[in-house]
Amino acid sequence: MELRIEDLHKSFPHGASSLRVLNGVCLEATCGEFVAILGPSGCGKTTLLNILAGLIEPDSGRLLLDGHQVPDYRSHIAYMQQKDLLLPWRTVLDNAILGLELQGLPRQQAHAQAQALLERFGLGGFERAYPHQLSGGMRQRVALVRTLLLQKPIWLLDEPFGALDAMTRSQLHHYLLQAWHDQKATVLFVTHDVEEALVLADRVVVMTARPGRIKAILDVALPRPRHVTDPQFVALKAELLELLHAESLEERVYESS
Amino acid sequence: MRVLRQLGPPLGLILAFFAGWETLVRLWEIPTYLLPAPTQIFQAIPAHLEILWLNSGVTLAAVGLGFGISLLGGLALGIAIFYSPMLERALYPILIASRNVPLFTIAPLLIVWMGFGLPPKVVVAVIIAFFPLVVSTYDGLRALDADLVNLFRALGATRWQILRKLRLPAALPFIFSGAKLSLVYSIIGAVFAEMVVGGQVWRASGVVAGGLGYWIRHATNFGHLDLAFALILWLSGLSLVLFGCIVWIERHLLRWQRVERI
Repeated sequence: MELRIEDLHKSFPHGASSLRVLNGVCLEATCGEFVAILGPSGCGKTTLLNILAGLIEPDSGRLLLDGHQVPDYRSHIAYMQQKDLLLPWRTVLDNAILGLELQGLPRQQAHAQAQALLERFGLGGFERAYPHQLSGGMRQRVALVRTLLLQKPIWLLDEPFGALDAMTRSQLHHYLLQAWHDQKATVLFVTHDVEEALVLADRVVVMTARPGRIKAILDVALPRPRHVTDPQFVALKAELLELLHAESLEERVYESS
Repeated sequence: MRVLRQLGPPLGLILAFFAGWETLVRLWEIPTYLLPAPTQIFQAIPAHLEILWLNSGVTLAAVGLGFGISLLGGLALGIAIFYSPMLERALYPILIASRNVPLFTIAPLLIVWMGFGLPPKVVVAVIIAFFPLVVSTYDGLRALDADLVNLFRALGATRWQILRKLRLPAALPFIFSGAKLSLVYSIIGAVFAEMVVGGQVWRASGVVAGGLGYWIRHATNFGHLDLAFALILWLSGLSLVLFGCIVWIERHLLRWQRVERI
């Protein structure tokens, strides 16, 4: 499903005045495209996803799915946040089926679907474990399974692997790309990690410091799996770091003024 | 083995306490109407088994009704306060303040209004057992991570689903703390009310059935201190059994808290 965001604005009340977080964000992702959104912290990336997920209302702007404004656009979107947000009283299996259960799918059917995906993500044998028994990487995998099981055409992923070590992270990249390939979903992946963006995405969108706008868009025309030592990869990384560095400087000026 | 290690020290202490008590009573030849020896107390239990048995039923009925009403009412009001800011502003300060007011002292008035028997006892039990449950339910519902609510909303959950599958399970540990306190309070309330309310003759057996509280006062008034102590001991045992039931349910429902790391 194709996703288009037109001129999104959002401010939050901040003391007596208001804090402008998004300042005319325009963005599009074609069907089945993997787009990474990169930006300095506090640039409104999470606000953008929260709006797309229907958790907060924008001040103005439009969201188009396949060229139309869809009233129940939320039902086409799966959202995964930075924290794994697993329910401590539910087992791995019951956490994984949460979304399906809330949509009214019979538990047995949901369990069968979840079981297959858990096994593919290397969580076979842990179905009956509770979240606090698992490592951070395993917990995040359960959260990913919970998101992917919804089989939505659009995935919003907000720094889902931000808190993990490099090894675990690259393993999860592998799982994610595999699932993306299978489901042919359109993905918006928010991160502040340049390498992660380049390993995963077809295009990398760089946002400005707050108030957030789109600053630049880079095509990553490299075949997967990508290698961080590939000269083209290194060149793109340098370019992105340059863009981000300029932004973080501007932010400092902005905040001190 | 673990149970023995846990229960051993307190049981040993209690036994030593009883032994010292027994020795002193015998040594100084203290009369029963002042202080009975533990052996006399234990003998009083089988001797007055009918009284203990019938009156346990009477007391348990008041405790059960009082606790049941407090549990359902407390949960309902706690949830209502959580969802209604107006109720919260009006009621919550009163609830907190009422903890510091000895409300159970209206027991004698309740006799004027409701007569003798079960109703005034249940009311006293509810009056003091109700508030801890309201407060703990409300606090538990409030303690929830807002991101979890966002997760449920993003998954398209209804308000009812959020309450049933997220807020209530998350509040359960709080609710159990409140329920345990509430159980103890409803026992205190019912027994105190029985001491004030008095008893009625049980037609079938001729035993006066005013509940254990009534009998503790009655036996004390007539110098049967062995029976009074036997009643207190019996009541303590009942309380422990009831408390154990709640703990057992808690451990079952919150078993996820006790699972070891792999």
